[in-house]
Amino acid sequence: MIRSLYTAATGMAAEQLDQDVVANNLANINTYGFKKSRANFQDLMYQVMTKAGSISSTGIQLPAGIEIGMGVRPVSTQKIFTQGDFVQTGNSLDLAIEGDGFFQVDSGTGRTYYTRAGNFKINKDGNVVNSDGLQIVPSISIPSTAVTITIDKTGSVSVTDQQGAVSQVGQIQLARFVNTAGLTSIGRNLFDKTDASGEPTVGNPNVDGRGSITQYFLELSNVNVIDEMVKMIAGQRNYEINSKAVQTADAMLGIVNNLKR
Amino acid sequence: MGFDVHEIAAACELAMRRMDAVAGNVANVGTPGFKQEYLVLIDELKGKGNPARREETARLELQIDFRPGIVKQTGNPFDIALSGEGFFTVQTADGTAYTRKGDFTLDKDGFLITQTGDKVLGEGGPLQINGQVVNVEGDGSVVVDGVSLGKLNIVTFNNLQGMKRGAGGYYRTEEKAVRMDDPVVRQAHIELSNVNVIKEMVNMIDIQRTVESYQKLMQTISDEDRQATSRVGKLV
Repeated sequence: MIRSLYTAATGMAAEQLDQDVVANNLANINTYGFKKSRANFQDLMYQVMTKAGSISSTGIQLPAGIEIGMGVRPVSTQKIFTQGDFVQTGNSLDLAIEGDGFFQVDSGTGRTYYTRAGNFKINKDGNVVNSDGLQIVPSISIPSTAVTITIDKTGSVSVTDQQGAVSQVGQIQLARFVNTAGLTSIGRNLFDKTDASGEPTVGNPNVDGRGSITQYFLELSNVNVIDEMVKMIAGQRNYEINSKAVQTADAMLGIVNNLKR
Repeated sequence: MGFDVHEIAAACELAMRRMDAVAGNVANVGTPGFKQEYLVLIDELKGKGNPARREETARLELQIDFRPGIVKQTGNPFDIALSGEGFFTVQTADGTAYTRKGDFTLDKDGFLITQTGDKVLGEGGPLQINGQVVNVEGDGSVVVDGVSLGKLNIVTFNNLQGMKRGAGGYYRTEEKAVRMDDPVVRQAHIELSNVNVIKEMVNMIDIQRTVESYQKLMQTISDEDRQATSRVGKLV
């Protein structure tokens, strides 16, 4: 009896986790390059009460056994890497990736992190950095004489000085993973590679399946408000029915406790 | 005495097992591809001689409801739903398993895997997807960048109730799998659980009231027993 109390409690915990994921998606709806997550669930092990093929007390061979489920558990929170919408900003270092791939930034300790947020800036030394000041990999330095910065869809960065002379100052490279869902989020819009994601293939944009670069645009989050609303509604109702199961189990225990007057 | 308190206690125990099954269903209401299960009471007394010699009044039988759940669009290319009947074939460490849970993903080598990391099988073995555009056609064919990798191995069984269910939405069976000729496969969709919430609410009310009746029965028998022991030999 106590089992159904705990079984339904696993259902409530799962719905809570689902709502946590939904809340984080909604909180990041205006975060550039944010990718929504989804909690995936699976059923827990089954307790065998009667084995299939065993003989009942009246001599009948049971065609199927009795296995009762022990509830549900979260198996993963999966990032969904669909393309977000683009928004035009007019800022020359706002870059969006159209297609697969990630910008690479240096953590400052030699580690490379990956991001879809292309709102880059120039630091005091003229280096191209992200909003947290992490340098883009491979590093790109914009000379102080530059008047305009042009980045084409293959990631080639060129500058024009006051005399109108054009020179290439760098090349943006993108990293592409076989299993993007295996990347781990480390916050601040950054992803880190894991054993599940594998090693990236790094190269110029617009070749070998890597996306192309669009200057003056940013990629918005791919969170769909309607989807998340529907998830919230369904999640609340699922939570409710699980709480009813807890209440029923509790009421039954109460009845049993009142058997002896 | 016709009824024994112990028999009613046993019936009470069965009601509680039924409640366990209900709790297992509602806990998995949000698990993709989950199939609800019921404990059905089977009366074994019918036409079975002297009722006084019975050993049990009923037994439970587990029935898994294999009807398909609602299919929901997700937009995620590796979410694959089966619209009609059938199972995906999965290669696990403990042998072949079958599942309806189609929230697949890729591993670092590009193999199509389940969320627990087991390889999903095509008709010719595991499917390795290394490409940009992945299309899963309506008949289960996997096409990557215009190159066909073959079909997903989608199978069915003659006797579904003989399947043994394990964690993670996996089913195992001794029976021979029959490859389906015309499965209905939908990419970027996911099959939700087929748990019927209304039915589970009604089941819960039913089970709770049943236990309540058992309680009244046991209390009545207990009252009769008390009267029998305290009033024997008294004239008034």
